[in-house]
Amino acid sequence: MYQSLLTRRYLTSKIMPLLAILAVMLCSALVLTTWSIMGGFLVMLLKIGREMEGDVSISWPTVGFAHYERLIERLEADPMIDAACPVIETFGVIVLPDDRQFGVKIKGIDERFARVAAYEQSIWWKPIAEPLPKDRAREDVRLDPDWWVRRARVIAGDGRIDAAEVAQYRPWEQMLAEGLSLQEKDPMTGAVVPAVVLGIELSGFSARLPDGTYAPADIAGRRVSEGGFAIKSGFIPNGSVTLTVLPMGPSGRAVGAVSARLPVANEFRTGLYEADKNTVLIRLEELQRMLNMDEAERLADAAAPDDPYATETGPDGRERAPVRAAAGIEPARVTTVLVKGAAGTDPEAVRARCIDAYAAFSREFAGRVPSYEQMLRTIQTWERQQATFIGAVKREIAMVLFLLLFISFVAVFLILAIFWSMVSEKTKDIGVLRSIGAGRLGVAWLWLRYGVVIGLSGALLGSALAHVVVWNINPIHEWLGRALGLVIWDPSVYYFPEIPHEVIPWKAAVVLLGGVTFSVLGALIPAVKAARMDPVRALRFE
Amino acid sequence: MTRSAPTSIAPHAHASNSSSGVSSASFLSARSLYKTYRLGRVDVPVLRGVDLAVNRGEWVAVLGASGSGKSTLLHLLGGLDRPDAWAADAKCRGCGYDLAGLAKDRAAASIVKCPECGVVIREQSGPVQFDGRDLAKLSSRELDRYRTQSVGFVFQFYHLLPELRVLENVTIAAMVRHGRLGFSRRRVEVEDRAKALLGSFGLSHRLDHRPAELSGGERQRVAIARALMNDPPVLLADEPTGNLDHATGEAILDEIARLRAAAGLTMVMVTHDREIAARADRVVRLVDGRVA
Repeated sequence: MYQSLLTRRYLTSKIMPLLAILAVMLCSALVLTTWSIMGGFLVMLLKIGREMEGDVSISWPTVGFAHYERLIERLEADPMIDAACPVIETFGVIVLPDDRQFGVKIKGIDERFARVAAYEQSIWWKPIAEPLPKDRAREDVRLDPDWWVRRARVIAGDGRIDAAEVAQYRPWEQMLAEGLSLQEKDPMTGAVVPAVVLGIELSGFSARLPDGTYAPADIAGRRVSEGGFAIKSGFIPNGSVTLTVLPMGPSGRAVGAVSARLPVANEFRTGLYEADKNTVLIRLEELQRMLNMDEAERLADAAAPDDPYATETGPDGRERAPVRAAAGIEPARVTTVLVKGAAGTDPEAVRARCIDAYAAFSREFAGRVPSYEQMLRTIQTWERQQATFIGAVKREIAMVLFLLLFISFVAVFLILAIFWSMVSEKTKDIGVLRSIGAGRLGVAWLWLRYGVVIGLSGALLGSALAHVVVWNINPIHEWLGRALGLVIWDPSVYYFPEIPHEVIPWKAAVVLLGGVTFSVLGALIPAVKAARMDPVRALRFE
Repeated sequence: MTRSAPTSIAPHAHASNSSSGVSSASFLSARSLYKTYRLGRVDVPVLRGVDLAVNRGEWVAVLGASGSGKSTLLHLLGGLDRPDAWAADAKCRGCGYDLAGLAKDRAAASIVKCPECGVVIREQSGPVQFDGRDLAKLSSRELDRYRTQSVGFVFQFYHLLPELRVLENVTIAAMVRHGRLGFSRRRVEVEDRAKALLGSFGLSHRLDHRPAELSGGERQRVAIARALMNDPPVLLADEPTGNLDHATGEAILDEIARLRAAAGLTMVMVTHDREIAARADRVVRLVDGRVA
């Protein structure tokens, strides 16, 4: 009882315990903030990966595999699997409206992609009813249903952009629909044409604002053949890009480059900087066509010609090389089938079911699709595909936490020094307590309890501080950038445009326990010193 | 095998108001009390075989000059310190080995073995007895209980806890005695007693004050209230008026005398002031660690 009374009084009447609380608070806040941000990085990485790539991918790169519709049918028959979709993944070159070129990852998808991945949510230019959490000024252009009308008028009034370009401005609803279908209606001809959806960071035309919104750029310069620059709208969904891909033959050699100029239907934002910077989505059939992976007639093998110079007369009356006869239909191919498991299923369990489904599929199409054994290595969860990277992140988190723990151990010595000094200062009090019958254990508990209270107070305050910092880490970072020119979180380096943040209760509990433990450790030696103090000497202490 | 009393000890006390000497019927007694402190490498004997007997309800003043061992005697009587188990100048009766070196290491041991000849020397009893109980045979916990329940200390420099208010400085003795649960159950009763004690000293208006806000006399009154909080049968006072002016000191002594008479307290008071000592039932003079 007397311990709690004295603890209360010592806490409120001395500056030194407040310094000890401050030390524990800062250490706890440091560890929890770092752990939350680094942990948030990993959690966000895994979440976005699963959202964009599904739970499992079945892939045979470059050449791809046929009869995928039958595989999808088998997969979707499994109750553990929610949906599956065909995808082609390849690499190519994009030329932007201002003639900049980038190597990009090109992904051919169809409408089913939205069932496997959070595609609709990732499409950026669409009508929204509520502003983003940090957009307190409601500056997001998507909140304004008539923004596109005003924008078109402003540009037309400027007189520098032709009417055809103004005509390209479309309502948000239309832009969303076109983004989802990856098709666009040509405003001049009315024909429906294939379109692309770009990662929002790819063009760099739309500037990301601190509140998380994107402001369409007004103009962009484009070199013209006569010299100088032409003025062009920077709102990328109004423009078009040129995409070049390399179709591969069965041997894996490129059989020539194929280019197409395609309108941009929309832009997407996953939150994963790498994907948003380097990915172009295109309609699956279009990419199949460009890569020669669409359905085609199979020609009979040419027999060894007796006369290599033989010719025949074509329907136009002209002489030509002899045409080989059609020998059947070569089915369309895709490189990947993405699979989404039912809600709450473990990706590893979904993978096991995919392996079973592919085994049956490969038996059905024996010799016409990669064998089960060949495919086994390429049926992977997203986590497995990224295992090296994810493992490195996990190890990095563990290493940083270990180092922080080591640094925080300084707090133990700080508390020890403060408590040692306090026990020395309170020597006479200890003598008085012993004289009225307080035992050694009671005196030791007084100081240990004091350590627990300091540890608990410091760790609780540290935890609160960490929560405040973590929840506001991006505004704090932006303020640092504005005030001091300090940009610590570079999205091109750290994957995400924003600093990930997530405080998990069990992590806070571990830090709390650690703070108390460190404080008790620091208080232990002074407590033993106090307990072993000779009461007579203590009373005579000056 | 028993140990005989050292020859250099004069086992008598000077009596002013009553007869002196050790009585087996004494309420609080010390017999052949030795205490040596070590200062650096030097052993400094403070008490050199003190015999003292205090009867129930008696007020004994221990009079002595500075350094004569008065406070040490009080600490030993109050169980705040343990006496040497062995006389600093004793020799083994088996081989004549000087046992002085054992004195500081063999605190309150009831069995001592001569390191030279192995003769085992048994102590008959501990040197300090309270109400027939040998303090030397009490465990640390029992000794703590003895200090909580049986004796109350009053010090020259008050020794109040500066962070606590006056009422808390008094009730803390009951907190130590009863523990958390016991105190919580008796809180009202304890606080009433503390207030009554403080009220009897005229400090009812000072309950919420800190010691720093009190005069020397008021502080000493609070210290006395604390010493009496657990209603101990023995009050041990170490120069209780030594830090006060004459008038205040006299007032304090009057209050102590009044309380003693009212509660039938047994009291040992250490002082160097003959005038104060004269108020006691009996005066014991301590000179160079011995009763003169």
